[in-house]
Amino acid sequence: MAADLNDRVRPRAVPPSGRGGSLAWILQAVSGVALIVLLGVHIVAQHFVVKGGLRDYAQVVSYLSNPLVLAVESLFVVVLIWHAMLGIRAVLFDFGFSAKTEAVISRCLVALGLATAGYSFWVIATIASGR
Amino acid sequence: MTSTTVHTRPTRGRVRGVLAYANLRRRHLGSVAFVTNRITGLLLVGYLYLHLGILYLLTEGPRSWTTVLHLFKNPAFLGLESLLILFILIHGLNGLRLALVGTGVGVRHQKAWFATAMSVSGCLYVVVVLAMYGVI
Ligand code: HEM
Repeated sequence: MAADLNDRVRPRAVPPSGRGGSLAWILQAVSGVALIVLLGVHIVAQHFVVKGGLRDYAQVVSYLSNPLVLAVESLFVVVLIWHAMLGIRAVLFDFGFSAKTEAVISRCLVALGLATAGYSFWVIATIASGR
Repeated sequence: MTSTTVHTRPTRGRVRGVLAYANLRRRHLGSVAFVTNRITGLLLVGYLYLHLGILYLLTEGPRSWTTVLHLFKNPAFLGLESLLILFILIHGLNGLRLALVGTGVGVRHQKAWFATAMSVSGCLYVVVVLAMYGVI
């Protein structure tokens, strides 16, 4: 991988085993670039095109009743949580923990990511059903 | 990537390492970019959970959502929201730069990329704030 502005200060999040670090970075960068589009769509559609900047309850329910919107918002949730968990992992791995601790951190972040995604989909489904 | 070594530091060194993030004196542009990306990234993760917590109100029906909408439309709250946009712009555009440079695109001009990313963030931020307060 090419040298970049940050290399002087940071050995990127590569586990002591030497495995997985670059892949994690590639996934972080790819999910980040995808987020530019998904986050852009989310902010513009949820806030900027709406008079007053915020949808009222009925507007949110009607917005989410569109299957295409539902699909894009769901993809946004997955990519965002993926990127955030990889980001926390990169920050924590830079503290230089042992391989065993890093494995525990990775497992905890997978659990946190799944829990966050589960909660987010529950919120989306509850709102979309208009209950 | 020039180095893939991870140094295991003792706990006190780690604490000092965390505090050192806040010290921007005599830093190279590279470390300013790194610290900026890291701090904005972590702030955005914090906001993600706050946002998800607030969205719970939508599952409780129109009444609780209407109450919270009044708070969101308060000008002081709008100021905080605009900061969120600023963090997204800085982290997102700097992240795009990192993704490009990390894959070998424009490595020799990375300082110019960084300056461009920050300038574009600043300009877009001004536009967003003006739009938020209904000036444009
Ligand atoms: C707007 C689009 C975004 C782009 C293009 C983007 C891009 C990136 C890239 C390329 C990195 C890796 C930096 C590196 O390892 O050198 C990164 C790190 C990170 N991102 Fe994002 N990101 C975006 C949005 C977000 C959001 C919305 C969050 C929060 C939920 C977030 C949280 C993080 C965290 C915590 C890190 C780790 C910081 C570090 O390693 O120092 N990012 N981002």
